Order: sequence, then C-alpha cells, then structure tokens
Amino acid sequence: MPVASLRALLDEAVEEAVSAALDPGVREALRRASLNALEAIPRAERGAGGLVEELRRRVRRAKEEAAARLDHYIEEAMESLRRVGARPVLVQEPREAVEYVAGLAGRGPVVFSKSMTAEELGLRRGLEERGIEVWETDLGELLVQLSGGKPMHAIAPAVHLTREEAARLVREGLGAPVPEDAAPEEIVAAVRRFLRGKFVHASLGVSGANALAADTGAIVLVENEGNIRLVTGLPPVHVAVAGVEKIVPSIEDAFAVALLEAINAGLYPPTYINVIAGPSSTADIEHHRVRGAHGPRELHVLLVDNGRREAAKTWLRDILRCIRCGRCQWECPVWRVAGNHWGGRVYGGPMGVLWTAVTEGVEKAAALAQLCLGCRACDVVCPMEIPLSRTIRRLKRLAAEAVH
Amino acid sequence: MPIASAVLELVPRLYRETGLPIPAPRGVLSGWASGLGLPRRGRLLLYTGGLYQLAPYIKAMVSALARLEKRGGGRLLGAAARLGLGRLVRPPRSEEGYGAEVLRSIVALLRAAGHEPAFLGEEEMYSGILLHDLGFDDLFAEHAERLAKLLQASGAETIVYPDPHTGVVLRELLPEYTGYEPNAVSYLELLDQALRDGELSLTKRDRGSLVIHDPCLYARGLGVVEQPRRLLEAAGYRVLEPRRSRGATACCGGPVAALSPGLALAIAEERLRELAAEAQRVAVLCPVCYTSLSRAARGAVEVRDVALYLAEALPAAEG
Ligand code: SF4
Repeated sequence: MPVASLRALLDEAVEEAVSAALDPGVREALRRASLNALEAIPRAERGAGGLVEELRRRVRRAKEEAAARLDHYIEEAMESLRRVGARPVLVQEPREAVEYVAGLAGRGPVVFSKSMTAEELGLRRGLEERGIEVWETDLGELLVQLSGGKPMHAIAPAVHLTREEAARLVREGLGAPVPEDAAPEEIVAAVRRFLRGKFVHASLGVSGANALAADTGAIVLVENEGNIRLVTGLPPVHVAVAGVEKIVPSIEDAFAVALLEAINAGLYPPTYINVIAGPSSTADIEHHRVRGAHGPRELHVLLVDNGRREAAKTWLRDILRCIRCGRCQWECPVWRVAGNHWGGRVYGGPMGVLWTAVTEGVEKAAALAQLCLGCRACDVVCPMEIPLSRTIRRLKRLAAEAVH
Repeated sequence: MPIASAVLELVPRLYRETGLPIPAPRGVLSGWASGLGLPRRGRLLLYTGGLYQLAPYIKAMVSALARLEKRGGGRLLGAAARLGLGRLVRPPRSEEGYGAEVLRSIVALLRAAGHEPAFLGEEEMYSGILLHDLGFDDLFAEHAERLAKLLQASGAETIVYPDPHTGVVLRELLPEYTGYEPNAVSYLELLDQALRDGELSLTKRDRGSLVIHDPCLYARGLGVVEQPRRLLEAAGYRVLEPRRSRGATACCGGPVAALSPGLALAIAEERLRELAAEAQRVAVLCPVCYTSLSRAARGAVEVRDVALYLAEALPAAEG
C-alpha cells in the first residue's frame, strides 16, 4: 500500500469524523437517537422473550453456513428463483447494476424502499443521472435524498436530522405546505400524500431484501412503514437488490432473520413481514397460469457481489454474517459523536469499517480503522458475535505497516 | 488540519529512540518509587507498565496536539518533532506528579493488605500497549519478547498490575505474542481478596457519593468490575452507576487522543455528561481514562483515581 495515499486517506477520515463530532446539531441528534435506541431495543427484546436467543443462534448458524459455502448457495438461490419465475442476475460491481436497472426503468417514476445495498451501488443516483425520476419512499431515506447527504445509520438513516430540518426538507423538496414548526405527524401526512401518486404511476419498484432463502427463492422483507408493500406490490416490475450475504439456506432461516431484525430495530412484533417468491400470477381462468395479476408481472433479483465473494475467502469473512442491525453503531463511542461520517461512502461505525473493507477496499478501511478505540463495546452487543474490534485491529496493522 | 498520519509516523520513531511512545524525561518510569524502599526481587512483583507515570505527559502531549490539530496540522507537527517535542509537552507542575501519587497510593494500599511488592527500578519497561493499539505489530512483538524475558527473569510468582491496559498486555498479549503466561492480577483483585479475608482494613465512614467509570478493558476483558465497588463501599463511599456501566460501559475516548485530540475530546465530553448526571465526583480506574475525562471536565467535575479515594481510608491517612 503506498504511504502517500494511505496518509491522505487517514487524514481525510479524521477530518470528516472530527468535523461531524464538532457539530453540536449532529451530536445532539445522535445522542437523542442512541438513548432512545437504548430503551427501545431492550423493550423489544423483553417482548420477544426467550425467542431472542433462539433467533440469534439460528441466524448465526445459518449465516455461518452460507458464508462458508457462498458460491454453492448463490447457485442454489438462483435456481430456486428461476423455479418460481423470478429472474436472478449476479452483478459484480455497481456500474453493472445501475445499467441493468436503468434498462428496466422505462420513463419512471421509480420508487425505492430503503436498501443499504442499493445505496452501496449508487443505484438511485445512477438512475437520476440518466434523467429518470426516482423517489425514496422510506421516510428517513427520503429525507436523506432531499438533503443530498448520506444515510447515517443502518436502520435509522436520518438520525442526524431534527424535526425542524425534516419539515424544511419536505417543504422545499416536495413543495408540500408544511409549516416550520410542523409536528412529525404533519410531516408524515404530507409525505404520504405526495408519494401516493408516485406509487400508483411508478414503472418500477426497487426494494432491498432482509433475507433470501436458497431452498425456495423466497425473499423476506420486514418493515413498519408499509412502504415496502407498496413498492413491491404496485409497480408492474419489481427489482429486489440483495447482497449475496443475504442468502440463507432455508425459508425458516429467512423468517428468523426478519424477526431478529425487527427486534433489533426496537419494534416487536414488526408491523409487516413480506414474503415474495416470484412475480404475481393467477390461474383462475381455465387453470392457465398468467404472470402479473395485481402485483408485478416481473421480479428481478440482483444478487450483488461487489467484493463479498472475495471477502468470504479471507479473514473478512465474519462480517458477511452481519445483519446490519446497527447495534454496534448505537454503542460505539466514535459513531455516537461522528455518525456515519466515520465510515466509507455508505457504511459507518464498527460494521461500516468492515463493510467498507469489503466493498471499497482494505486501504480505505485501514485508514478508518485507526479511529477505532478498541473498547470492545461493539463486540458485546453484536447479535451475530462478529469479532468486530479484533478484525478492525487487523486493518489497523495494514495502516501501520504502510507508514512504518 | 489532521495530524493523524504525522502522529502515526512519529510514534514508532520516538519509541525506537527512547523506548517510550511519547516524549517524557529519562527515569520517568522508576522515579516515582524513590524513598519507598521497595525490594528489587520478591514473590509479588508490581509491574507498572509505565502508563501511570506517562499519564501527565500523555495529557500534555494531547493538549499540544490539540492545538496543532486546530491550526497547523501534520506539517507543523513534523517541524515540531524535528525541534524536539520534549519542550512542547511539559505538563503543568500541578499535574506532573499525578502518576507517582497514584502508584505510591497503590503501594500503600498493598502494604496495608499485607503485601510487600517488589519493583524493578531502572529496569522497569514500558508495556508497549500503544504500539499494539496502533497496529505496529512487529514492533510490539519484539517489545513483548523483551518484556516477557524481563518478567520471567524477575523470578516473581505473581505479577500485580495497576491498570487495565497493562493487564491486557500481561493477560492477553504476552501469551498471544510470546507464549509466556504470567500469573497476573490487578491490584484491585488483591485488595478485594484481602478485604474479604479480613486482612485489609479501611476506615469506614460516610465519605459521600461518587460515580464510577468502568474502564472498557476491565469490564469487557479482565473481569475487574465488582472489586473496586466493594472496596469503595468498604471505605464508606456511596458508589453510583452511570447510564452505561459495568459490561456496557462507554469508553473515555483516550485511545484515539493521539491521532485526533478533537474526536477524543468529543467522546470524553459525551461520557462525562453521563457520569456527571449522577455525581460531581468521578472515580476512574485507569490513567488513560484520567487524562481524557479530566481534560473534558476542565476542573468542573472532580476526576480522580480509585487508588487515591481508597488511600484516604487507610488508617494511616485517617491518623
Ligand atoms: S456488526 Fe453485528 S451489531 Fe453491527 S450491524 Fe452487523 S450484526 Fe449488527
């Protein structure tokens, strides 16, 4: 690794993290959100009772198994997807994904539900640059879109924005008559009114996937807002974007992931769990199967590699177990002052350092790793028991070796 | 202007020149023990790791770096390094003796518990922890070999350590890097055991409330959690818990202070806020926590080492 570029990356990483940490607005917002999470998550865990441990164990095992034989499960998942009438595509890198989706988008509008993997691919921006109208429909993600910034947390992308800022963004960005001191309810209602039309007229819906079952090709998505149901149900074409690490061996495993994610997001039971196995169809006339009934007639599944298959062969493999619950972020002292400004393009905090290593390269990640305190707070909260601090320290070694 | 990359280059250079990762006067590791009459050899060896002695210099260095981070950045640091950093980082007189005071209190407490620790004097070595934490594994591995030899040659049966970072070096890193597994305990474990065996008596009287700040590595690594609480309570302190405590404790920010004093300060301020919500007196158990939290407290909240609080309850001090 060339010293000059590593020095620059390190100093850049520090610069971005420090300026966020010195911004009193960011810090106040992160403080409030992390305190709320600190109450909501244990409450959800109490609600789920003994299930929590069982889910953790099951998901851990499923993810370990999938990461250990990643290529095998990718193949199995693709076969299962074809069997249910979906069209799987394995994409190696972002540009490929953008091109593929742009080809399906028509004139738009395209509606997105929150997907970190889509964000990683720069999918929304890529479509926008091609002149296609795109709307995020997850409220937090929409606020991030309107602000032109980057998502701040795996589950709560707009944690860094106060309600006043949210009102301003919605007023200016959507032209909705929302007063400066609007209550959150008013903001939500304005967004709902605006997005209704977009859902109905969308040519394409783009979602993520919490899990993809290799045995059946079933995609599982968990949510509380209800936007995923609309994104995946109303437009004639649906594209689900899933990192290959989202593949788990069985449909039971996929449900376990969804429930576990709901608990870690602080709401149990989750309001909605969606299972999607193929495009909608009906055989009600002469028992003849027609693809495309009330739901989409086409389902495309983008299986995203972007460094993951390579990582599965190295000491970075453990991070492929990550379910992006964000708990390591809520507990990380660096993240709690800098948010995802301590991170790569998309992923921040402890998991973000490692995901950056996978998706943007170890050089960038090594620079970020130097800001890790080694305090082990992430290690003890990670439901997947990923040795975060130890793996991050391994990255530090690369940075140290480079300057030494 | 970031100084991180310049610091990352500086640390191994300083270490090679002086055996220490930061500028500090010669003899800093052993001077604190003068006049105590500690034997060189014994069954129980107090291995300090050097962190307490260095704490005032770390704090001074971080303040100097903080000024550079605000203004000049790495380039100015490079120039300052060439002129000799020693002048830049002299701690104020009121702070210079902090580490010595804590270590002397630890010796007094151990003696009151019936232990007479040995100390290596001028042979005392830095633990090497910063090299490890910054990722300089080759340097740390060499250092660890020398340290393992020194400790083995001391002939001690038990090695007692004063702080969690030194504890991690002894309990986790020496075994990993050298295969040598010393029998190492925290002085707080020894004191707590003595207390329970009735061999240590602390004068119990109402000493008011304080809030305890668990160091990450005690709480999530070495299992030193209840011992300090029991000891403080035996001395008559009412021990309050902050929002994040024990295994869920929050870091003071210290480990990143050299690379970014600004970021470290922000983290320390967040933690101090949680602590100060409970009491205006904070007991710390680690010299790194002391430097960070006292920097954030700016004198408004009392931040002191647990050994100093405990030493106040020694019958001699009560006299
Ligand atoms: S690393 Fe662990 S705690 Fe962090 S987001 Fe991933 S699964 Fe959650």
